[in-house]
Amino acid sequence: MIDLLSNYGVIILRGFLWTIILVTGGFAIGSVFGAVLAILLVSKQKLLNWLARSYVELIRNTPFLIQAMLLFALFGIMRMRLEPLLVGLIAIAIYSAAYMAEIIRGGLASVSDGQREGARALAIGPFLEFRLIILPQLLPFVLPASVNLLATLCKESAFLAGVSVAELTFSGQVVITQTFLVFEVWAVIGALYLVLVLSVMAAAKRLEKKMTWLIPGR
Amino acid sequence: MLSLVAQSPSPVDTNVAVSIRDVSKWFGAFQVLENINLEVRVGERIVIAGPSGSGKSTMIRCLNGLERHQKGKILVNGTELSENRKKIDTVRKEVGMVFQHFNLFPHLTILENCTLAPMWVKNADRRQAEGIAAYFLEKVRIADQAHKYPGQLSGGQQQRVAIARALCMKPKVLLFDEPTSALDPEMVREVLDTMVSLAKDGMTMLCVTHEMGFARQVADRVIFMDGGQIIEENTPSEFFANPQHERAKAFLSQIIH
Repeated sequence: MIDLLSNYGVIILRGFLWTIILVTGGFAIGSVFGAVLAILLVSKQKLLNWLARSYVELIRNTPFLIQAMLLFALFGIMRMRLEPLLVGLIAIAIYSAAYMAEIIRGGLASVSDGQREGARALAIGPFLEFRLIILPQLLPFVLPASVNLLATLCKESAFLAGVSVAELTFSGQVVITQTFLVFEVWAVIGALYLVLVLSVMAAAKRLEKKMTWLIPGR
Repeated sequence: MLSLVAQSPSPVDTNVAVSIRDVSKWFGAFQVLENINLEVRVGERIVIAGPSGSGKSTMIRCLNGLERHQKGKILVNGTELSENRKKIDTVRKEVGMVFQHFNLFPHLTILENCTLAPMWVKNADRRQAEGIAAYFLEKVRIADQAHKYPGQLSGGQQQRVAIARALCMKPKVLLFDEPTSALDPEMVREVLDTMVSLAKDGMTMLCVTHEMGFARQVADRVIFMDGGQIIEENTPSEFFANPQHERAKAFLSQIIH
């Protein structure tokens, strides 16, 4: 085991770091995209609403691996030679956007129209209405759900090994072809995923405990 | 009779708080307001009554731009309500509203509910805003609850906080949209008492309510609406003793046993 880590630890660590970068980067882009989608999901514009709804259902009801493979194939058909890591990042962004859209939509729906009217009647403009009234009531709902999504992404990202994205699981495959230490390598890889997901959960707990930073003027 | 006086050409009459001229509104194909004309003088107390669906809530919601009217003209303290955001906000700063379901902000304390808009909209500093809030919370007799959250108060208490919150913006007009309809019966009195004391202070008030006792006690005029129209307008004593319109008679016989 010590031999394994001293000789191949760098490969595994590089894969681990790429998994963190792909997941956090993809999640960040997906969250922004998801927020836009959420606004379309509650929009009264029928066409935009339908497009957003179709996107969300398409992504949420098909396997991530298939989506990733289709994305690679699509870039292939378009004769675009992109770095596999970049395509992996896009795949995660596309996937997380659909889930974030639903999470944010649910959060928006959890704040009643009365709250918005209460704010408007006090001459609070749209930006302050969102910052002072909607966001502090939205986040306690959105935050735990998005942490769950982030944890899921950490695990689902392993499928990207199937399309040769050099993330953690892929690095495991690489090391196994060189060492044939199948059990040991997967045990190390599994432990690293566990550490990653537990860290995400622990960070989220701390964030949730101190939600008071959301309250204006405190 | 008062609405005839209102035909004067000058749009800005400082004695007129609210002026509604030939206002109509549709929800899709359904007409909710039909040629509404109403003039409210400064300091006047108006009670708006009528069966549900008669357009009374919609009408007062048009007065602070929560609903847009599609025809006619609405002037509040001389500012015409249009699509212009700035004008809507000007009006909203001068018009307080009390809702049926209070609409307090649950993530903020009672005090913060009252200081939020003065601080963020009127740029009052915290000390100033808290001073104003303390004064009005005292006025609605709820100062001792200032550091609690809305969810910890009874419905009647919450509604009194909502009144204080509106007052903290120092409005020239207060709109009440069925302020006691969502309350348990034993809490109606405390809210009405607060409203009566505001009326005594000379606040210009438009109240959509089914509380006919309140109407009798404080209203200068009762407006009776049905089917999106104002069909009767009179002093409370005349309106209750001698309603002119059949629908007003039917409404009163249902509401007063």
